Amino acid sequence: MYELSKDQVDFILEDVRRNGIKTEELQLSLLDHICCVIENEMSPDKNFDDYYRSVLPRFFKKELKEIQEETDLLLTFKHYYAMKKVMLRSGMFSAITFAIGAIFKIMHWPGASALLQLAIISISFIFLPIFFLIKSKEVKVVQQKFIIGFGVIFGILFCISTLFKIMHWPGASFMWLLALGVLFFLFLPVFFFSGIRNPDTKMNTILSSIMVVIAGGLLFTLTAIYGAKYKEEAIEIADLHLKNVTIFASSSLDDKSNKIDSLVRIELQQKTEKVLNNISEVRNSLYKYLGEGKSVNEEELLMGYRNDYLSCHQFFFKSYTRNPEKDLPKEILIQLKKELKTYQSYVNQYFKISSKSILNLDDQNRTFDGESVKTDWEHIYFSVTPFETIVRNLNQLEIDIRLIEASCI
Amino acid sequence: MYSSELIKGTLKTIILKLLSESDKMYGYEITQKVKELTGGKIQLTEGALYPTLHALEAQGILSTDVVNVGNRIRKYYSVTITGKQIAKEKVNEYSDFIDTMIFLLDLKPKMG
Repeated sequence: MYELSKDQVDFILEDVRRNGIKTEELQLSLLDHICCVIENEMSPDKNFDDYYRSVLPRFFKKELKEIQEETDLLLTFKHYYAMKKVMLRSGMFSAITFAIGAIFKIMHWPGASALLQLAIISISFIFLPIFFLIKSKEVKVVQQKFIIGFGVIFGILFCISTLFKIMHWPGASFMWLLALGVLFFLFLPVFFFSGIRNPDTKMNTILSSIMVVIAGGLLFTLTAIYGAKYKEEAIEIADLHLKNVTIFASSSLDDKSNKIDSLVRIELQQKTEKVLNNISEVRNSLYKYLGEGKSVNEEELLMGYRNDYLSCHQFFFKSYTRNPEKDLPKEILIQLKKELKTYQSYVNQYFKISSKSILNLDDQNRTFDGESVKTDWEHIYFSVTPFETIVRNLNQLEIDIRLIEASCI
Repeated sequence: MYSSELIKGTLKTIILKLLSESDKMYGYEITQKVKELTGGKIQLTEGALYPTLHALEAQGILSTDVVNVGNRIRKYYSVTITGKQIAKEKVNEYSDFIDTMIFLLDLKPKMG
């Protein structure tokens, strides 16, 4: 058996290092292995240098540093399978939670927000980051890494802005615009210009870019522009509401020139306030219901519930069949109608005023699928009616009451 | 000698099986043992052996012991408790795989 001198061992170690083996652990492992080969397999009459040169190629195909690269790859992917598992599970979890949360939200069952929050948080903070780590390691080209990175940033911002929007938290729109900014000014240029250079991917790149522009543009139109429109409309409605209240407050009962007796006047005032309070209560509990327990203002609700006739219908009625005979009103609406009727009959009795021309609580004929159907007051104003119309109807009801009151004096 | 592609997929299984049957072994010893057991038909290439050993160590499947030998350091590898379980699973999986391959490639000895 050949015995290696210290110089020879040092020489081998140095040579291994020079050939691109960077980590000490690997250097020492290879050193021992090479030494073992030489000690066990070289016949004593052979020359060390020649033999060493002939042994080395056993370790690689082209270069020794292949071993270093292979080790690095295996080590960086040490947690690869665990990560992949977490990614798939969190993805699946998010998808299922999101679907269930959406159903809960539509049905207004408790826990909808918690489920949606959980889904969005697990998508944005577990699924997408791991997706980025895994995918960006799989691609070799730097541009591809950027494409995946920007795509993931867009995804996270999009998810979080959706979360903010459904929770009615401030900053949703800003985040949404930021997401679109990332999509249009970072993701798309890199994606387009890196893909178009390669003849193989040219066609697909152009098609995908067009899709991204259309989809992003549609989302932008749907949210940002209409969002601004809702806002104006919401302010308009809120203004109108405020104006009504002021007009009637100033016009009504402080007027000294009225003919009626002050005691009667006080009674009328009390009864009017009672009805108006009842309307306010209905309004407040509707807002609270839509805001899921939190007090949310009209403006924010208009952003979230515009054109949403189902949520309001579910607040006022026991079922949703769209058949006026089957959908029975809930207690809150029955109570409101009762109050209004009591007020009307009081006014009719004491002031000999027929308030029907102002506020008609009777059943009326409505055309429904081409047929004239007798429909009650509850269904005309509150059934299958979008939120903004309900707000308008409640405002109108307040105006009507004030008008009746004014006509009494 | 079998082609390196065939060996590559089984490298982990071979290493784990060998190490779980002995107390501890070092790299060169593993290659020699495999060569001896298979009559030279399977020769582990060092280019694949060390990256795999280092990765298995990082995953906690193998533990190491460092010993000074003459002018250099020698790393002995042994299987951890979790590693033993994985070795068992790998061997079972491979045996199942072989059965499937025999069936797939129609290698069953003909009856009669």
